[in-house]
Amino acid sequence: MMRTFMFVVVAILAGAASAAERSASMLSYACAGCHGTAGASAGDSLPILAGLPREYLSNIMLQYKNGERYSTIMGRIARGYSDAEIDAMAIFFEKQKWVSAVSQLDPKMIARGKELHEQKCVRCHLGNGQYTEYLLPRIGGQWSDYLTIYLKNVNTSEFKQPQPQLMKESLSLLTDEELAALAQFYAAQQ
Amino acid sequence: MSNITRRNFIKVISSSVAVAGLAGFHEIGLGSSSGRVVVVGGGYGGATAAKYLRLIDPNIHVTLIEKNAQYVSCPMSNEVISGVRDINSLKVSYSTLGTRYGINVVQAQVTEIDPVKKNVRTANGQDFQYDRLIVSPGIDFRWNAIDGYDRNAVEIMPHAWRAGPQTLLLRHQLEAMKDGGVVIIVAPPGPFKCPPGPYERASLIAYYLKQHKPRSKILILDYKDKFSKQALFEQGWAQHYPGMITWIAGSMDGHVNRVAPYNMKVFTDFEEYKGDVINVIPPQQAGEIARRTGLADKSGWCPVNQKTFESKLYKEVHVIGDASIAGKMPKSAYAANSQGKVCAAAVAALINGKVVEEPSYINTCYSLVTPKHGISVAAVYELNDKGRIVEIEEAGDPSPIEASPWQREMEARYAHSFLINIMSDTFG
Repeated sequence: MMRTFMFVVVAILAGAASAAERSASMLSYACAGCHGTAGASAGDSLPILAGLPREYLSNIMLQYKNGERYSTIMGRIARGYSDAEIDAMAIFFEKQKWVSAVSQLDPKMIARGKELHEQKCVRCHLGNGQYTEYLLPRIGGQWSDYLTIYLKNVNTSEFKQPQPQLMKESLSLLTDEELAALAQFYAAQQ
Repeated sequence: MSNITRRNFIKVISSSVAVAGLAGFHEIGLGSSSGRVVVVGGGYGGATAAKYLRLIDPNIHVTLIEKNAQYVSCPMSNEVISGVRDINSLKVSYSTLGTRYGINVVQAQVTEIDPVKKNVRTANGQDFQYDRLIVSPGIDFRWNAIDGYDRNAVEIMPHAWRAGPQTLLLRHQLEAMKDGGVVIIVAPPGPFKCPPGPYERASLIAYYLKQHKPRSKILILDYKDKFSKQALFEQGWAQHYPGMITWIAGSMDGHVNRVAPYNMKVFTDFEEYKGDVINVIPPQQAGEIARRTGLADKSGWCPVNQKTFESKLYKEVHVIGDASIAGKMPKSAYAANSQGKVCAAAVAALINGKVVEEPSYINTCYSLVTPKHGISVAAVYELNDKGRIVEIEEAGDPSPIEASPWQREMEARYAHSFLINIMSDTFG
């Protein structure tokens, strides 16, 4: 009930064009074929969405939709939804329970990643990457393959990935190997 | 969420784990309904519908009747044919649907559906009464639509269009073939299951042949004059397998009318072709039980209300997945999974006397040109004012034709993760 009420308010505020209103659950169920039931992805290159903050999810999806963020496929799908529908899905996934990925990880890489985390990332990614609030996603327990792809894209000018300036600077001098180590460290924070 | 301070975040995280379940999944189930739903067919459509019915309304009693003890995924089965994947990775049991979601999983062959008495009977004589029935039988072949292609011919010229022994047979034939051999793929007319499938298959067979039998050729004889993701496939073939794959369109005499399995020959209007391995993907129609029950029309497919998937021919019977006529949606695993959810929400609402929600559907189809070169097509769908499922025009499209090897590799990695997620969303 509360959720429906919130959706209606959001829809009015955002001036949704769609005449027929589609519920947050109806919209969100369709995502699970790629992102897992209730956003608990089981596939190592696709991110877990469950429990991430509404603001983060909504913001990143709007960037995909508007072409401000590169994607292979997410933008093509995001364009199928109104801004209000995207926000409704963000609220839906924020309410779901985070389920950490179970990855095959290398202890040496994790140790190297921990050093890099403490040098470069610790100021924002609190709690070894488990902390999440507003535009900061939880990355502790996220899939390492997804994180590796993401970090590599941040460092590649070809793929537009809006980031806080501090993150771009922190990552810019790291090798692919170091990015993979960081990803493994965060993946280990389950 | 935004008023959480840095100091107490650990406490909040741990407590939210304790209280949060699958939020938003139990809205409809607050009453004391005792509806009985029977689902016939445990593929991507039926298994998804059964699971999501229980997630949406745990008060509904759900029975899933499926003839096989386990499912073998068709998506990615072309990797088994190319030798880069073990078929066991595509197998999944139905046990989780029983233990985690409380679905009554029955392994049996359905022999009769009585839509008047609302009863389903199985080969071993069990009867299942329902308030609403969901039929998800997948496709059946039109035997002898190609003269000579019957149930015996599949042992010589496998279709491999249902994952399992047929997949392995085609794989073994390719392994046994000499270098310099000719592989023929007969591609069917639409509508058929997995529109890009024949062309992904050609790609992944070429991937195997290039490494192990590089003088071999692949010939695709097609009923059609164009095919799914055509520009992307043809680009990939030129890049990875130059000169190896030839595609002959229907209007260029690609249409196969007859096969002679014992001579390993296929015939078009003007030509005959001899192959060393011949994969015939025959013309298709809705699964047999749907047709026998009278759920299919003259087209061979099942007309439905595209909002609820309720049959236009029988009340309180819903048809989803490949067997249904679902507007612009293709016959794919993703589409069946998406339809299973829309149908589950509709059936739960109808059983509880609630208004059926406005539907939303997605399809995503990944194909591999090589195990590291992925391409995709995606679409988001809505119901238009005529009650037809249509694509939302702003969304969709195939992968861009201009892309770097890294982008193609990312799509291949997403394809592999998609497989894991769609299997877990459907069966896990």
